[in-house]
Amino acid sequence: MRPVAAGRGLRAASLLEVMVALGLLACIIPLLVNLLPSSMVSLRRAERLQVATTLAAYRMDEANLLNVGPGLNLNEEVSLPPYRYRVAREFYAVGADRVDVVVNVLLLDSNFPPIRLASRMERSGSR
Amino acid sequence: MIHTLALISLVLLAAFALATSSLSQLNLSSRYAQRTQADYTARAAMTEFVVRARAMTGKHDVTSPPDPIFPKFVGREVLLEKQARVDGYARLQLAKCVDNSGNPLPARSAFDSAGKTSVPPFCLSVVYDVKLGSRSYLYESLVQQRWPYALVAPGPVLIPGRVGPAPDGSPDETTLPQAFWSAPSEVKGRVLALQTDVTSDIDEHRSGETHAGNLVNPIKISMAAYQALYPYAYSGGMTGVPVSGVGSSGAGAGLNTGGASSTIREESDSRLILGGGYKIFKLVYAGFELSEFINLGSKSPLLRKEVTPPYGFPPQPPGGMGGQGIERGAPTDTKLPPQGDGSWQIQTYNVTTKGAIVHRGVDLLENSPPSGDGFTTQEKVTIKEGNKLNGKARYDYWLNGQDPAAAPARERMRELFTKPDTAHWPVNNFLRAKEIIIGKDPAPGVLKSESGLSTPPIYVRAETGKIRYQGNFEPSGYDLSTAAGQDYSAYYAQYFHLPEGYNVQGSLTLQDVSLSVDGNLSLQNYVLRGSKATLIVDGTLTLDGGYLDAGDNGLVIFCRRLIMKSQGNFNGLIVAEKGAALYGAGAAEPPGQPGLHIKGGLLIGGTDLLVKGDPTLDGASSPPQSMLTAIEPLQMRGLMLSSCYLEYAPQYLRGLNNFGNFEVLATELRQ
Repeated sequence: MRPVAAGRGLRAASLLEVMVALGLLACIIPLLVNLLPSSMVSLRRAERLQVATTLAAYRMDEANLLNVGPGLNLNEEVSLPPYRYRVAREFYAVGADRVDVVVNVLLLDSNFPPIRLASRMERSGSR
Repeated sequence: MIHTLALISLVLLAAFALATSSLSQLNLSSRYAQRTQADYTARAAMTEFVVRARAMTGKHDVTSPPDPIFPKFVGREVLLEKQARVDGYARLQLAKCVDNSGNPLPARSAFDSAGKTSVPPFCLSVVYDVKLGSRSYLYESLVQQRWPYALVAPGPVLIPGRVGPAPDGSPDETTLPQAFWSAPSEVKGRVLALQTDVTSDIDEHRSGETHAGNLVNPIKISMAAYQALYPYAYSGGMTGVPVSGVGSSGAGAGLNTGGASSTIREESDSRLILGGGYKIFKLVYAGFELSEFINLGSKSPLLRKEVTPPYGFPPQPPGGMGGQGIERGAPTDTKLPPQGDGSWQIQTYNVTTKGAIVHRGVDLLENSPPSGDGFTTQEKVTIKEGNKLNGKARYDYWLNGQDPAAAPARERMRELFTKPDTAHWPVNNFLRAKEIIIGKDPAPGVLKSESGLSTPPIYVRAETGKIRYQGNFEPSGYDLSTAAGQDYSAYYAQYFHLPEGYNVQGSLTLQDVSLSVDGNLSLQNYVLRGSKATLIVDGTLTLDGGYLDAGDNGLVIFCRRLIMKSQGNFNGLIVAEKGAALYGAGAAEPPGQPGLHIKGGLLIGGTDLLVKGDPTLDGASSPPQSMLTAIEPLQMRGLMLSSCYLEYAPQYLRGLNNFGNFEVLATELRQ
């Protein structure tokens, strides 16, 4: 093992260095304090967006199998703890043989914008 | 200090990584939402494509293949634009679309590398752009217009199982003579069972083509065919003949009907009857034996002796065809007592059958009955013990998404069963002969009889590929049968590998040609062959004791009514507008196999099938009149499919695909 040379001990940080470090920390800590929650919000938002999109797609596929008629209420509230979603389906006749289906999924307890899916299908398959 | 700074840097890095990842996750979720919307826009575009393609389909008959669809979209490529609710813009990329709808092999799509074929047979590869906001996607959908059924018929559809020993080799419980045995029928495909006759209002102007008209004009068939069909008839029977009623002889519960007539009536009126369930009538001549009468004096005047035929109307195996067996042993005039004197008796047996299978389920179409005509069967499906329905039974089914009670659906169904127009085909009333070949090419230089006849077969050339025979093509005096000359059954048995005793006397061959017969086409003991051909019969097609041979190129048969008591292999489509009875004359030896194999499809539109036996067609010089009186016409069901194997094969149903729906099999994002 090589011995430490005499007279070359560890040098303490200068005042300037300490001041710079503290300044950097002063800038970054608020950023960090902000970044973490917004990251969490983004993550939560991404998750809810994905769930809501999947829910909308599922409800859209389900519409293929429905025998849609007047008076059919297809609004519902879906609870996937800890979140809740309100799903609404709208059907619009297009000519005699097609129907436009619009699925809106509203994310309750949040201010996220709703997810909207729209498609067109034939009015009835096998009954 | 350095360490502190390094630690801070690490924390910062981790924090930024977390933030970036969160934002990426959010971005991905947004992309997922947008991509999902793009997928549904693509689906909407395909809905538009299917609806427009269907609207572009013109009137068709079952003999013509579908027209190419993509040329019809030239100038109309935009599928979605400025829609009120469905976002996005969709446009066909016709240059990249592939029409493989007429090809039985897979083909290359616009995205396939060399050697790869991703477009399935009988499919379209539809390529289209979808623009959503600032993003653009390229999709490919595989679309198929396909007729999905192996069998279509109005109820009651009877698919009997096996009479005789069970297919698994277990002992015969029926104790019936071997002459009764038949093979179980099998349908390898899906069945569409109609509620009622869809064709009773077609061609009402044609004489005898209404339901009522048919009831007074029964189809004349040989006694062999009559006897084969008898047990399976919907109604009919013998009149003026006392019915004694006997035990079951192990064949089932005996039935004593009594009275002066016997009427067949299957108990079940189901739309589809699998297995079961008919009566066999043993016709017994109860003549007085003089010696017995003397010995017994007047004490026992009712002592009777049974004479041939031992059984009256069993299904016949091949060995019993062609004038052999029961029909040859038919009672003569001298044995027949005056009608109604009680010397003939019918003994009835209820026979159950096993082994009938339908493989891919059944759809029940509730098409509304036309006014005042046709049967309406309310029961759904009856599966007798020992028979099997694999797959689902779907009730209240809507074919192609159309309400079957609505006018468009009814009209489409009528179109399916409407005879192709042959009015302008060139007329050629060719000579009748034992062997007839009709082809498109010039006649071969040397025509030699394949059966060793001194006279060659006649060759009829149809230059346009179409030929029309005016009038009935029925053998005059049945001079094509054994009564007219040499018996060639041995030759045909060898050539066609026919079962022993199968009696074939001539052949009609169609080579890449369409033949239309304006009247009935009656082929007694004939081979009907066809390759890439069409046979249209504007009347009744009777293949009585014949053999059917249609190879890989397929044969399409359209007729008003069909009586087929034949064996053979048939690849193609059979459409019988008013009704059909198919008796495949299955092998008698266990395990019996169906004698008639059909690969393709079978469509029956009505229930107007009334048949009556005539012994003269079996070679009898003069029919016993009193016997004829007793033979009542049989009303057949919507379809009787006995000893037949029917397999769905879409490659032979190209013309029928016009009537199938476009189905989107898959949609894939390509770019």
